[in-house]
Amino acid sequence: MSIIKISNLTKVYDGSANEIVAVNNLNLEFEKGEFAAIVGPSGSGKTTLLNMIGGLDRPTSGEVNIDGQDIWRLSSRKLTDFRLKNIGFVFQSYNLIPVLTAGENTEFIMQLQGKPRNERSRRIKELLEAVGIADREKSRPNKLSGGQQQRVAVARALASKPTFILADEPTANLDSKSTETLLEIMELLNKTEDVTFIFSTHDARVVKKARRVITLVDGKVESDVSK
Amino acid sequence: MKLLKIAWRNLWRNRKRTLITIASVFFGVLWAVALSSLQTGSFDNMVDNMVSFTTGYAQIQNIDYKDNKSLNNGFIPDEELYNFLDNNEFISKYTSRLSTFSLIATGEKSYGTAVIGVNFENEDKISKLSQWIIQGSYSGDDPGGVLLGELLANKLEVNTGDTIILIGQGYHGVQVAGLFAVRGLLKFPISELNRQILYMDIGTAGDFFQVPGTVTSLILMVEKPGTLTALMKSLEQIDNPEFVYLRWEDLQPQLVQLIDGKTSSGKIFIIILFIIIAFGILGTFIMMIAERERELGIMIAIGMNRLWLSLILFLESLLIAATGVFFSFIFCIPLVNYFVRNPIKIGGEMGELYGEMGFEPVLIFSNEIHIFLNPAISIFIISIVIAIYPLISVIRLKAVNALRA
Repeated sequence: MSIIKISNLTKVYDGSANEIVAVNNLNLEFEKGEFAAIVGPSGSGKTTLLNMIGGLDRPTSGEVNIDGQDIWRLSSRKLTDFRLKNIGFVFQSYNLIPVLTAGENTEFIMQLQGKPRNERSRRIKELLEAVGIADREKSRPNKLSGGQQQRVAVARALASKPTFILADEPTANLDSKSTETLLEIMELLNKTEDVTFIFSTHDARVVKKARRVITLVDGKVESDVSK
Repeated sequence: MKLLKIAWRNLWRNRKRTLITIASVFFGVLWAVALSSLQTGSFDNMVDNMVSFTTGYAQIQNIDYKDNKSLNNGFIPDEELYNFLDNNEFISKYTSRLSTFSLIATGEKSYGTAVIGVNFENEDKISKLSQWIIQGSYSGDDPGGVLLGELLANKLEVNTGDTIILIGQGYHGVQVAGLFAVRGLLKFPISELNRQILYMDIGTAGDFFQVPGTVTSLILMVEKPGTLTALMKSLEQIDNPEFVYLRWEDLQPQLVQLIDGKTSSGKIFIIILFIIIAFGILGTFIMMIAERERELGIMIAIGMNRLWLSLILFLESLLIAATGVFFSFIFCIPLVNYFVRNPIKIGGEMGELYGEMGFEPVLIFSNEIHIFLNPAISIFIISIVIAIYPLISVIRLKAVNALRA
């Protein structure tokens, strides 16, 4: 079943003579439970595509339908709410809230969703154990390694029980061991939580793990291979 | 909700900068409270002194006396009026005075002086006149004796027991002259009074100026200045078209002007102070938001409502203000209360200068609640106004641009 349907999606930066077509009339669909990687050279439009799917960057034209709803027809407030309930984000630079502990970072999004305290506590424990840093629940991001921070970011992304997670170059700042651990965790969560993962990446190890690899060149799909 | 916790922790991400901003609020409030306390205390004291020494908080006069201060425009209070004053709940004390001007002479010297006929017993309850006696007695056996201001006595080169001559104009212009013994000398903290004042018994004065039983004004005092308006309203019940009822502000417009002028300059100083504080806090916020643009973008991206995000920044502004005000109060409430109980006396040449200018040479502080509340409210309003900047920043923030920051 298709949960994300992208139709004729185009993004053009700067409407003047120097305009750049970052995404060019792109059509894609993602099924529930996919573990997909979007690859391509720098400037091929990977991040722009993820930002448009994530409701962060408005497309110049085209549609992003998620569960049958064109998200770019939603008001700004409804779009924010939509992101909160349906989309999890993992960023290249972890981007945890520095003043909150690992546990609080994970809990924060559930608080925004208005989930009760006991449910939050249970979920924090569950997720931090799943990403292997239950013992660092009380640590702030500056006391965690890059790999640990990215694992908290994954736990945070999953905390809201999203329909899918968008991960923009999640392993770019990690060493080999951390990358391996993170990928194993995400793969496991993809199966146990039945959540769709869409990565943009340059990393061959991520590509190797992905069950579907979409290659973008100049904003167009060059290949789309399912393993 | 974690908003308050996040706001509080955010403040301490750059400890030094936050402490400097809090310090600016601390010192701003401290200065504002100190200045306001000193001004209010000094003005209240000035009013109380001036009102007690001279006009009282309110006066009943003949309607013509207001514009023409002649003995011809005095009046003779009847029993009914005295009964009304005795039973008025707002009047704490009252007395009658007969005021005029006269020439005072001894030997080859003569000067103009204010002559105030008073009931010495009642007058002392209001102006505490007896405390200023430096020589002789306040209410001796000689009811015809007079009390002189020290500087006037010095100019005339008289002492207690000496005799002075009063030459003046009585009722309907009649020429009056008489000899009076100096019973005592008064030294007020206000030089102007020492230079040109003479007190005598009101009965003696009435007889001397040929207006027996007449008063030029009835001086009314209230326990609390706040009840003055109620007193003025109650006086309307007297319903005598011959009378006019005046507040101290009507009787001492110069004092009102002086206080207004000083208050305005104080307010301008405080406004400038708060503007400086406001820019300090605003500067801190501009830096905080610039540093956290990416983080704010992340929060919006993961689904945080912009309004809540603005609320975090607003709370940060409020917490800086509240912390500064809190520590300022911890410091300045005991300090102000100490100075309320222990006014600073100004000695030496500066003290004399104060006296020359007509002020009591003492710095008196006040601890009225508005002195503390006004700066606190001002700071909170500033923090609310400053919070508009982050609010606009957050509303205008594009998450995707912030993520690239």
